Amino acid sequence: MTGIKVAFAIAIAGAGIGLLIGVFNLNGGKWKLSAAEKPKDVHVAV
Amino acid sequence: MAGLLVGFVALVVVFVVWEWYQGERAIVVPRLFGKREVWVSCGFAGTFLGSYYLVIYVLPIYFQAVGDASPIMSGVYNLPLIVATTISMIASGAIISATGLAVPLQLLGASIGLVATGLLFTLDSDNGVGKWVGFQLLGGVGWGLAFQIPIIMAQANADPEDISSVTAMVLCKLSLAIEKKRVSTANLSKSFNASDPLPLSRRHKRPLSTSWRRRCTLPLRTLIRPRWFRPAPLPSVLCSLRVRWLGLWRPT
Repeated sequence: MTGIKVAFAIAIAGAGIGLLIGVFNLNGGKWKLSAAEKPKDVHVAV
Repeated sequence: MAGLLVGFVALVVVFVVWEWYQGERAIVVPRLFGKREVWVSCGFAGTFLGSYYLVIYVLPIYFQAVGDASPIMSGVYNLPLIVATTISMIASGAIISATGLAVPLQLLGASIGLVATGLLFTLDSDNGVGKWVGFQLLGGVGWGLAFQIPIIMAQANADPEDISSVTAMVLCKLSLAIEKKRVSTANLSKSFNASDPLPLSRRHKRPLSTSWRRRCTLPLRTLIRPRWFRPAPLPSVLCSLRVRWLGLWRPT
């Protein structure tokens, strides 16, 4: 059980860093995509 | 251990030198990686989405080691996460296509995912079905919302001729993170399990409801297995496999 807890703790760390990156992106990045930048077929194919 | 660390550093150096040497043909093109949207997307894919794959790798181990589930049933118990992620991913694409709001959705998904991993951390050896199903559903919603956003953001801010390169860069970072987290952490968890098993007094307390398990395996027990597996004798199956095998390797 300890090992599984360690694994989940690392997952928490990963998700936490992801959240920080999201905040960083919200702070200085572009919030909204323009009509030309919205996902198209390339994204669907990926 | 020292060999692994030295090998890791040496491989990173070789990778950087090789990428620099390749220039525009590299997996990580320096010109594109310098863009904010690209390196932020790579970082997000490597951390947040890496944690999704870590959870999806560890949960079946949890179900098997703690819940005494079979390998097949551990996959069935993972379905709430998979289904929720799939539906949420489709909804995320539809929302972004309709509104263009990608970054707030990324933040929302990351928040929900973080809460879900925290809740999954609280799973113990004696949980009700509601807990592990609910936590997986919540996590699936969070990860699904934010899953495609790194690729969408990177592609949206790239020129048409660079779309394939930035997509490859984000996916490369995602794959590296998946393997790094999955291999190292899962092996760590297994080594911990071997040396630190559950106390004897708690081993019989299975976190999964028996009635739930019986309901899930009902089609297998009543329909599939008796009709397809029992009548087929093992030697005939082995012979057919061997014929196929020989056919595959027959020189032409």
